[in-house]
Amino acid sequence: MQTDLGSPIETVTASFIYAVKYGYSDTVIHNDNQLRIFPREGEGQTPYDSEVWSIPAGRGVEYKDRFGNRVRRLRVIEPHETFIVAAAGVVGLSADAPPDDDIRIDQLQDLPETFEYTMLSPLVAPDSVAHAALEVAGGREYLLEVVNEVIQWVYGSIIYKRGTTSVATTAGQVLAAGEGVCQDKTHLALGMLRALKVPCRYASGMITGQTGETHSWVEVYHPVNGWLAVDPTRGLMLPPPKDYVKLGVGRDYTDVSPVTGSFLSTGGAASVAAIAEVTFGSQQSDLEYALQLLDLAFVVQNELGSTSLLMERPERDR
Amino acid sequence: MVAATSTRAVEFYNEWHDGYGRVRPHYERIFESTRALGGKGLADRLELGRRRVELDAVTFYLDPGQFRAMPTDFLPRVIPIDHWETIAAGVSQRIRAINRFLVDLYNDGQNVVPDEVIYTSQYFYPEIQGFRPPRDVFVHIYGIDLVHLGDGRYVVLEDNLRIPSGISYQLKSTGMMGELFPEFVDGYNVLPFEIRDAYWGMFRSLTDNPDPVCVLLTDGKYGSAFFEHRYLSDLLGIPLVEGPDLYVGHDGRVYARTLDEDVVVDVIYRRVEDLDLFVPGLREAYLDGKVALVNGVGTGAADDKLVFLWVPDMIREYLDEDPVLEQAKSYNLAESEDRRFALENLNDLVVKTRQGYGGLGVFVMPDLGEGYSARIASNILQNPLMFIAQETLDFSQHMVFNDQNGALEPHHIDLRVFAVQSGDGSVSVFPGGLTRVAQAGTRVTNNSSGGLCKPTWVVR
Repeated sequence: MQTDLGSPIETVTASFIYAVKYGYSDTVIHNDNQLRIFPREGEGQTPYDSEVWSIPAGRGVEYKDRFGNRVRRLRVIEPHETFIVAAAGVVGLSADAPPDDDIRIDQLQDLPETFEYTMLSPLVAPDSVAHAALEVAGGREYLLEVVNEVIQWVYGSIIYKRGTTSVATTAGQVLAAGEGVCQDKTHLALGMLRALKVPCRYASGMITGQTGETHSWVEVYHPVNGWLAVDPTRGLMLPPPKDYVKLGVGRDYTDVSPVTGSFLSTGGAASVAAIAEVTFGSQQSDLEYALQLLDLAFVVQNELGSTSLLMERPERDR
Repeated sequence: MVAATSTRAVEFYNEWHDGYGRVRPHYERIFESTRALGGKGLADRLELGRRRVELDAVTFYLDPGQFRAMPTDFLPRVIPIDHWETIAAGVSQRIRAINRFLVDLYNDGQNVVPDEVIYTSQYFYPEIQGFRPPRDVFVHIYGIDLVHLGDGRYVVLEDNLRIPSGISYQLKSTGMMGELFPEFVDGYNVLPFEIRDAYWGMFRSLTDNPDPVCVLLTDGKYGSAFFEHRYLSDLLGIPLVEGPDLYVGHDGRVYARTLDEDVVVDVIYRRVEDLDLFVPGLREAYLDGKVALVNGVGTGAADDKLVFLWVPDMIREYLDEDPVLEQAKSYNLAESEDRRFALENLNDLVVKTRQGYGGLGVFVMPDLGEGYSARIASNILQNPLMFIAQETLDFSQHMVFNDQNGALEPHHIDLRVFAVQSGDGSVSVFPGGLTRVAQAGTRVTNNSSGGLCKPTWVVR
């Protein structure tokens, strides 16, 4: 296929909102978090505007992590029993030219820019799923062909099911269980692709036109066209960029979780409710609207015990 | 008793002898004294010393509340003055640069350490952005860990900027040695070691009250270094207080409860990490400038083992000087090239968890053997920001008396030097330091990991 750089690129504008509310069984005296809830720049997405709120407000600093995500480190030392984080923004989404399909996997080896995305990460051990990967796409040479085989296989073979996996479920466990949510399917596809020597990364964000939860998908590295999105949960090769708003990328969920951190309390985490929504248009939502959505959100009673003082965040991509 | 009789060249630099049977000049008198005492005489004195350590309750607890006397080896370590002059200059330089960096960091100015590195440090506190501590000094009491590679080459392993401990063991063991072995002291011109004036000068420099009320805040008698808290409180003449003895009044100032009336506290020499856990509101009182804390809040961001990599850059940036002391070559595992190198050479490196202390989370790969490296490598791959790798240094050994067989045996030693920086910017580096002795066959010297301590002199 030829790359046609001259074609007009259509850009749509989308407005997103994300909010999460944590409830605790006792007063929290400090709450230290890294927020990855800014819209990411690149791969067809241009952030126009964004804002982040937290209640209590706390104090923060911002930096870019090594994956290029914009991160706010936020520490709250006002005593509190609930903690709310919300983000809203407006982005432009445009389609890139279709990628070259004659790239072979052996052209992707030992690239310094993909070093992070070819190896073991906390939830993705390529060795643990290599046998499945070889069975599905072993012997195939071309990048897009291999990727398509893997994501279609994950889409068709892993049953979408809630409640059977957790934020800590590994790619190997997903393969063994044969079921999971989007995060699990993404991890399994990443593991299989890495086992086949395809550099790939975890993308976290949300689906346009939906109100509900955050989503995750895979991005594979293409030496000419850069990072390409594929979605094993929905079985989509190269879905149009206007379908997704991207918040972060990393090796797996642990690098891009929207809120990660720990808190200090004699109590524990009692509940968590999260909401994500993307609509077309350029009207940025405000905090009031985020709080309204949160009130409607389903409250997940998490299963964590209440004895440990420092706890990880329990909410996850679906 | 065997001392320095080997004719074989030793693998590591030995402080006491040159490896060919010759005692180094500054150890000759001590060597003569031990010979005059004989094996039995030496063993008896050391036994007496052990009892005194126990009876004086010179303790360092490994398990909370479990009585454990500080294991002490009384054969002194002797540092020649020319070595010391280099050390003192290097230590003074580091604490000054680090303090400048911290002021810059919390006032939006620093561009020495990459943002991701400094802002992911657990001990970086965003909420104190914009805060300047009294007289712009964050770190008042500094403990720096050095090793000696030989012939005056001292290399920095770590900075301790939060609540560095150990100075009391240096004072106590050196003092006890003088009583146990008066013959060692004869004929040596030892640099005096006195901390009271320097500490008080520093306390006074942090407050406008010409007659300040200072207290030492302890985590209580079950804390590992309670001996030190008690000892310093006696030595400095400042009350030892626990959390409930202090409270923050309606005027925002900090009060100490006493039998007569509650008194306003000007300076808290705090030996606890989590202030608000011990005294609710203390942190805010400090940030409001109502009380001075020694050390300040947020200093841990600079003793993060990854941030350590940039201390030489801080010295160049803030002091416009070249670093006097070398530091162990370290690798930032979050950076691809460094990580690749570290994984390929893992068996030659030391791997440390970024925010560990007391020797916990230190993996000396050459001493651990092959079995460990796969596990460590997988941990590094999964969480590269959690670890650093450092070159393994073949640092010096010192003779240690083995009370089982009466022999003198070489053990690795390090040196923790203490310094104080006052509000006027002046730095006092206390001659000598706490020499910590690793257990035989290891290179981990931390007292939290079961190491011994050894009296230390600087001699003219």
